[in-house]
Amino acid sequence: MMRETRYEAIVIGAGMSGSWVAKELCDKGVKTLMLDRGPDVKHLKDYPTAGKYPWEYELRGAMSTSHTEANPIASRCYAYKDGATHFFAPDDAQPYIQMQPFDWIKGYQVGGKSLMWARQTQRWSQYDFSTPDTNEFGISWPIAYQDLAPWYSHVEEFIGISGEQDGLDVLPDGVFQPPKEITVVDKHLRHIVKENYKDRHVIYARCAHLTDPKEIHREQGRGQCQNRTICERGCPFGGYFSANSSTIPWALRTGNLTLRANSVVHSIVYDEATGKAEGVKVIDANSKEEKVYYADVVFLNAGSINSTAILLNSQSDRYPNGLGNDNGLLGKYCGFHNYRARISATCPGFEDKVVDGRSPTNVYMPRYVNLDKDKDGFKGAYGVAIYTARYRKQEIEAIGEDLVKDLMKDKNFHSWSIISMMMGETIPKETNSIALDPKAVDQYGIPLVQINIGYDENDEKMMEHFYHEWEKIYKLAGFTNVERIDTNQAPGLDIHEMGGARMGKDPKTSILNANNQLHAVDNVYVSDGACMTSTSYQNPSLTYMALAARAANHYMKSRV
Amino acid sequence: MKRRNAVRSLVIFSLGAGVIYSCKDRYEAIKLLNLKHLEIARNELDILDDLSRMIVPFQEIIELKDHTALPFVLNMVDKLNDATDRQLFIKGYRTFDTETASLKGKAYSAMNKVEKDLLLTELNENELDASPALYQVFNTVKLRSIQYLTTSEYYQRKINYYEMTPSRFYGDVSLMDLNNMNDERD
Ligand SMILES: Cc1cc2nc3c(=O)[nH]c(=O)nc-3n(C[C@H](O)[C@H](O)[C@H](O)COP(=O)(O)OP(=O)(O)OC[C@H]3O[C@@H](n4cnc5c(N)ncnc54)[C@H](O)[C@@H]3O)c2cc1C
Repeated sequence: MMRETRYEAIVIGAGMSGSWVAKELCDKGVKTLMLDRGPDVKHLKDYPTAGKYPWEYELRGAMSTSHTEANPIASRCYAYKDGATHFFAPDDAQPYIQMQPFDWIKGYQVGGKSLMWARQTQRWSQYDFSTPDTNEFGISWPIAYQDLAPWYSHVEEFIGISGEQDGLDVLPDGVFQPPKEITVVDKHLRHIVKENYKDRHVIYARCAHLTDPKEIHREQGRGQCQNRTICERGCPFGGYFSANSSTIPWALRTGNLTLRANSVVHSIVYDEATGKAEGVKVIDANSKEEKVYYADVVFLNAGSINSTAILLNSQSDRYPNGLGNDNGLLGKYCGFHNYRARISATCPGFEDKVVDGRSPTNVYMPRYVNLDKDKDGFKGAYGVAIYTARYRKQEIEAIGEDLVKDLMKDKNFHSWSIISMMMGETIPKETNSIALDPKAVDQYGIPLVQINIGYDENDEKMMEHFYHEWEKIYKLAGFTNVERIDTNQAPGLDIHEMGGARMGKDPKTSILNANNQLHAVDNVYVSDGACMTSTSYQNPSLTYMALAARAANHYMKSRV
Repeated sequence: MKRRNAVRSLVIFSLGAGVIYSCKDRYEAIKLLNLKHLEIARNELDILDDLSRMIVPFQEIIELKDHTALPFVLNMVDKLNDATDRQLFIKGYRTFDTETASLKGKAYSAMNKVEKDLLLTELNENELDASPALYQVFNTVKLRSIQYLTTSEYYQRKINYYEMTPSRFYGDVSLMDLNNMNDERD
């Protein structure tokens, strides 16, 4: 095994959260090595399909059956489309064992999933941090909203979020760029909800798009969102936040970052003498050569499941069951978001209205349930993503010349339609867990991950509540043809996997402390979704980025 | 050999650039698609091509007059349909003439335009007591020919006013305003 250069810090994973750690450390002069298992993806240069028109796709965006048969898991993701598949890890890149059905959607490259994400960005409120206490499940968070609020602002300002100041205690406002337009039916629904409910609000869904770039964004080389809505192929304008367009080039420009792609992290190396981590063992993805990189501090940001797996695989005499795993809870209390329940309808009364063009976002209803205790028949919160649209008619009844005439008409539209999706909190349970398979290994000799995560009765009760409440809302709005939908999708397809190394006050019941350090080994920080004590219901990446920035700055302070 | 390569490059380029298939070399183009699952005799290609033109005769649009949807239709069936649907489609085009002959007393290929129109109208209205295979061919050719037209560059630009960069979003537009805006865009 070769001994390699020393760095002050190593960041494992160059995705959404890791790139934030790197940026913060490099800004403050820390010589940092960032490792990623996938290839490098350079902003602009490595977006081969970003300028391809829809009619240039042989199958017009559909995926061939041979492709979907080879990648049944990735294919279930709505964004896995012709033109974007190269940013998704193929199913065979890292096999895993499903103890229960679990669709693990992965993006293995520099930039991680920040290239393909849907860019929805909401803060957590104090209600969300205290839900485990008020709803009596799991353990308490060791931090409160006020601890994270400045870091939310810090991240929002840098990445650029388009949003409205809504003034809601359930969804704190932030640093926003102007919102985009919403649809006429969104406005109608907003009005109806306002008239009928004090505690419910239809708001513009905040998203990480630049609508009025500021100096800080221009410094990053980014510009205004062009409403192209082909974001998952990479945006040549840097119109939305990705690590590739923003945090990584920023960190590289400081001269303090060394970025090593194609470096699969095997484990963290523990020094029995000092009781600290001393480095990271890496396998070169191409040559399969093993290397160890040394540093004073290690940040784990490989995505929740991989970060937890790396800790489990970091075994030593002192920690035979995984680094920092004195209490045996590493890999347990995993969570995700329940995205199964949807409700659709037709929206009569707007026949003379249409939209023109495409929007990268939609509208949203923040939580209104179980604010102070679990009084709604289940535990936890849910919010609702709301999509309204009016599509041009294409399945035309006629044939022959009449059909062509119909198709060429401007005015051929279906009625307006709506689909609202519950975004449900799941309750972290010891049984929802990941572990390493005792025998099977991948192409790098790293144990395969076993994933044992499923729904429970609480999830079903929450869905029933959502259906019931939204049937009422649709009725008030005058919507018809209301249909409940249960997609029955497996956990994982929400792409919000969390937990496994949860934060907490007590080392007996948690793996990380309030600053994202391992209780037992304080020079290891886990600052991605693995740290989540509970899941709440919001799209989580803004919170991961804020936690990552906070953790990096905690290290800077503790170093002085 | 040289010419063949040139045609191949042209077709590959055309696929990439989204240029609509030119009907002059449509059978050449189909050969070059390397269809894995469909083997189609020339007379069957003639039937399918004719069906597509009868059902969605977009060739009447001046800008599309030299174009055919057939290679697109076949490519979609070959690459997207599952084995059951594909087998039904194959059975359907292989027996199209014999089945129409037994149903109507005249094979499709031998029908004049009026007779074909009648037959296709009955199929379209689900009123013909035909086999699932015949319906599979009709429905597939209709669906994919429409898709070919509506996803073509011509349609996207002319009817949908598709713009990639910069694009636009207005959420609350009256239909009348949209039509006026579109007149200005024309
Ligand atoms: C289609 C889609 C839509 C989404 N929409 C939203 C949304 O609207 N809002 C939202 O908040 N979130 C959304 N997400 C989720 C969001 O992308 C993730 O929450 C976020 O990227 C997680 O950040 P991360 O840094 O933990 O992981 P990632 O961004 O995945 O980065 C992890 C990195 O670690 C690397 N890595 C993994 N294992 C190893 C190893 N062993 N060694 C070295 N490197 C390793 C990977 O290659 C990767 O680059 C979406 C995701 C997808 C795919």
